Amino acid sequence: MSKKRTLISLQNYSFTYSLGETPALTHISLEICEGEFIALCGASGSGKSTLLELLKPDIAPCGSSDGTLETALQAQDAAIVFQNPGAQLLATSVLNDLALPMENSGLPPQQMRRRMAETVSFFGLGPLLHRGPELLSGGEKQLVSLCAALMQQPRLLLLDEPTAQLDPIAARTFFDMLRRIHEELGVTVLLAEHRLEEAAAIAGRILLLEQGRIRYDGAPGEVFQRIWKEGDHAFLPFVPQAPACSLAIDSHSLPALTPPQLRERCRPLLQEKLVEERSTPVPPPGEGVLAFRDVCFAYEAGAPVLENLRLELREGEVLCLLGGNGSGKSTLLKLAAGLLQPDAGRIKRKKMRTGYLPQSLQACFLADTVGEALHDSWKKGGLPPGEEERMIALFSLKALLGRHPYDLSGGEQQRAAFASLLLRRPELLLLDEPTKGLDPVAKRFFGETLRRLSIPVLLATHDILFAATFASRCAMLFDGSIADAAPPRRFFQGSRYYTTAVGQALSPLGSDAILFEDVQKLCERDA
Amino acid sequence: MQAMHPLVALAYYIGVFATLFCFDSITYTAALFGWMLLLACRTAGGRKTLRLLMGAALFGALLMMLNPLINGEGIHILFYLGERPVTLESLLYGAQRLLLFAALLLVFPSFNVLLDSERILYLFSHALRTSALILMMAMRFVPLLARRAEELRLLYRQAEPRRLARIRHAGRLLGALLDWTVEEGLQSARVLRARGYRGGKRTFYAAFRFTLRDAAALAVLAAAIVALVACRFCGAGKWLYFPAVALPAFDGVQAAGLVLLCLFGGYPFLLEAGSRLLCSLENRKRGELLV
Amino acid sequence: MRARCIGLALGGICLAVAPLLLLLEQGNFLPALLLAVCGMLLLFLAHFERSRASAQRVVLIALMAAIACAGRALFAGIPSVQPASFLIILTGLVFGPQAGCMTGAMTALASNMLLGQGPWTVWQMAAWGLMGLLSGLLRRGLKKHLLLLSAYGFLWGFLFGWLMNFWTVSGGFFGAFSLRAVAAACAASFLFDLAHAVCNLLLIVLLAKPFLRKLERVAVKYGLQPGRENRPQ
Repeated sequence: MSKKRTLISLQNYSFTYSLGETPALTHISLEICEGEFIALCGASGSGKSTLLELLKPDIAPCGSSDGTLETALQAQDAAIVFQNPGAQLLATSVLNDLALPMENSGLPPQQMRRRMAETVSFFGLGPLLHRGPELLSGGEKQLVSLCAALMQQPRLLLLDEPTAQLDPIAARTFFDMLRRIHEELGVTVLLAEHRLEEAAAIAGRILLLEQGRIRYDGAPGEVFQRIWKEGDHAFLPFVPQAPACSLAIDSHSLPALTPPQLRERCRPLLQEKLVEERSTPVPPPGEGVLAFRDVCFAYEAGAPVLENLRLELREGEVLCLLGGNGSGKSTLLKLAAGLLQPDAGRIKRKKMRTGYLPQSLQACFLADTVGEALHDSWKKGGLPPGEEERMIALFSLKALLGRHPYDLSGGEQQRAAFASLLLRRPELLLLDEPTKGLDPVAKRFFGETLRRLSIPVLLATHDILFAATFASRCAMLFDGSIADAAPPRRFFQGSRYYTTAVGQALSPLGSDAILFEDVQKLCERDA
Repeated sequence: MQAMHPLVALAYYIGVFATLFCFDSITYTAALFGWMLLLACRTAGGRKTLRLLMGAALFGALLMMLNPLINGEGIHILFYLGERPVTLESLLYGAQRLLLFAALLLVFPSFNVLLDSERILYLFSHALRTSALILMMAMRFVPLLARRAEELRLLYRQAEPRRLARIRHAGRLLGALLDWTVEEGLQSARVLRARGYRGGKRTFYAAFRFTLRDAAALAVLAAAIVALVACRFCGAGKWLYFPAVALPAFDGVQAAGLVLLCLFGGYPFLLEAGSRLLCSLENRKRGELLV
Repeated sequence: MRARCIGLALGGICLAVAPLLLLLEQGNFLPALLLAVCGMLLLFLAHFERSRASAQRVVLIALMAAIACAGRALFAGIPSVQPASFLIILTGLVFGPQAGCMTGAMTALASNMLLGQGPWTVWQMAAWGLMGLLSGLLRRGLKKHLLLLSAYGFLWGFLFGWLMNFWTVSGGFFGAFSLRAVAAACAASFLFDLAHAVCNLLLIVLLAKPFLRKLERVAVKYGLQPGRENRPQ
């Protein structure tokens, strides 16, 4: 096998932001070869974005660096796609957005037309070409951004958590396109991700970063195995379900990366098929606190969003609302919060203080600093004086108090907004996509906090794994009404597409396992 | 004209503005007004035009009444309104101004269709590249921000009776909107740089192609405008209202000017008819189609 | 690039001077004025094109213009209060005359592009552009004294209205151009202008302090303090 050409090589490279005190990257040694697909993973603030941006000279941050960074690329040979779908479309129509990079590099019109024609056909974006960005879904926006990045005909494609804000189906479409770009065009890809499920299956190599250092570097299977053997608690949450389960079954062979592979590994385990015996008593349902009775709602006449929707939220439960983009989850929460009024039907609400967390967290902060925002909420909530400090400690916000809310990262913003909401002493929580953009550790912390609160929570999410782990009941919103509301195990059992990786692997075998813990239980029983 | 290159429409509208202001004869203004009315109905629909016309009529009638009142010049005194003489001259002048005003307003319904935002951006971007980019981005962000503003307003709805407190509250929301938008803007700026913007040389993706047909149409249009200007210098369409209104003799120049003006004003219709005719002629020439 | 800018500038000068010729022929003032205003705008835009604005600057101007257009939704419940002028003045104060003028002109153009053009577009562009430009030029004094700034905002309410009146007066719609006609037009629009002026005054008194602080922070973040403009980064 001939050795591939090295595109970029970093030797003992360190980087410190011009305003930062500690280095964002320390002693990075890394070689990126032509045609590789590398997934870059690590907690928020581990230096993923910094590394990506340093590789694209146009947007390289200001700061001091140490060590060498050699690159065989011109500035226009690297293209980047960011996380936020809304902020990346700058023009009034998809066509103009796609043309922008070519216009900026000053291509002659003839060449622009040809490149536009072929790239748009490759992506199948033809039908969207003359639409404005307002009419695109999040997934479509990210595809357009990807397509715009490819208009520069890059040799290296950098992606900074491109699917963090997408629903699972849209994320899969995005990854499929990414795989085609990698396989058919041979573009080198460097992808930063929290969610390794999809990325691990297509990446040839993964890099795990911790506090600006590379901790693991290698083929996905090997890296997961090493983490598992070392019992590295910092990175165990990053190991996706499928490899984690197969490592729990057998830690000596390379782990399975996809659900079908996992299914083969699990087959011998499944003499006893069910995790939960049917006889386990179901806890008696609590009193209803919020009920939708045949609610109809439409923003425009003729395009109903909700139709005869029935739903009940009970005392002390966490009800997770699943469904694709645009299925009406946010609308339902706004109706529950009383921000919108139903066209028909009734929403019965017990008179209680309702806390609402909108999808765009930015709308939560009117104050200029985090401390001010928390203090405001504390004053309005009327909790005893010590509570504010307790909450700050609980959500580890001490260091952020003087910062402007918009200067925080997504995860920090979410913690601050949630803490501020809890200081208002809500008795009912309505949360719209609270886990968007969180890394696995932060997600677990958030879920556990929710459980401890033991107040009724109605939560809209795309995150199936989160719903499966922390929900008391799950409901799927489809075509304007709730298809079914049931405890997670019953809800996910038997579904083929809209379920966790374990569910996908095991439900064809007749099992009701959906979580890593379930597989662990099966293993113990087997032993 | 919608099928043509935006330059043709631009030339047409420049000509319309120029002729509107050049000729002060009532007949000429009325002719242009008629064409603008027809064009507005054709492109923007009759109902929309009618609505605009109703609004304009109110303001226009006011102008027409005001004119004789303020303007006391002229010698043919029709009657006295209190102390002030109302003259034929000022009444006629007022009428001409009314027509001009209405025609000016009526230019825009068709202008907004024949030179819509896409076409204006296209024209703009050839000469003013950075400004066109800014304009496009501003237009992209307005609907997004309007939606965000609505979201904020909904979220922090307050029943505050006092006006001052309401303004202060709305101001707080405006501040939040500003912070939010500008913070995200930093990312947009990074995207713009990542897409190769360096402030300077840019080309523009040509959404429109300048064909031979466009060239011909433009040439005819230019010739018409030049001929009109020539007529104007020979005295066509020139009316003196003050001190005394005097009807100019309706000679050859006047007639030629009017005919030319009518042809020019109806140019979009002529183009449409012409291209239809050409198509049908071409079709007839086609040989037999075997099915 | 340079050739284009020079061409634009020449065009602007020609347009600005052409009215003199027209005026010789004692006609309407409207076409003369229209040409002059267009020429000025063109000159300014050519100057802006030449400055090779950075990506941050371009995005910021677009965003401020968009906020000025969209911000009125927040004041929907309060009649005749619109934040556009307030925001344009502040943009001039914090980001300098060029950004202020550009924001003003783009606010007018963008809102008219979305709502439909009218004969007022050019005048609005000029009036708001001038507002931003002047605010930028006078920023040292205005930023120091809130009182001065409030008076300045109040004044602009009327100034804006008078500038907008120009096109009706010079078009002869109020009779042949005369002082009396000007007075009549200004009297007709007095109430509107007063509302605009009071709105500016209120917004500045209530909100100028926090907004100036916000925008100064933005200027630092974007690396866009005035005086450092025109320098490619």
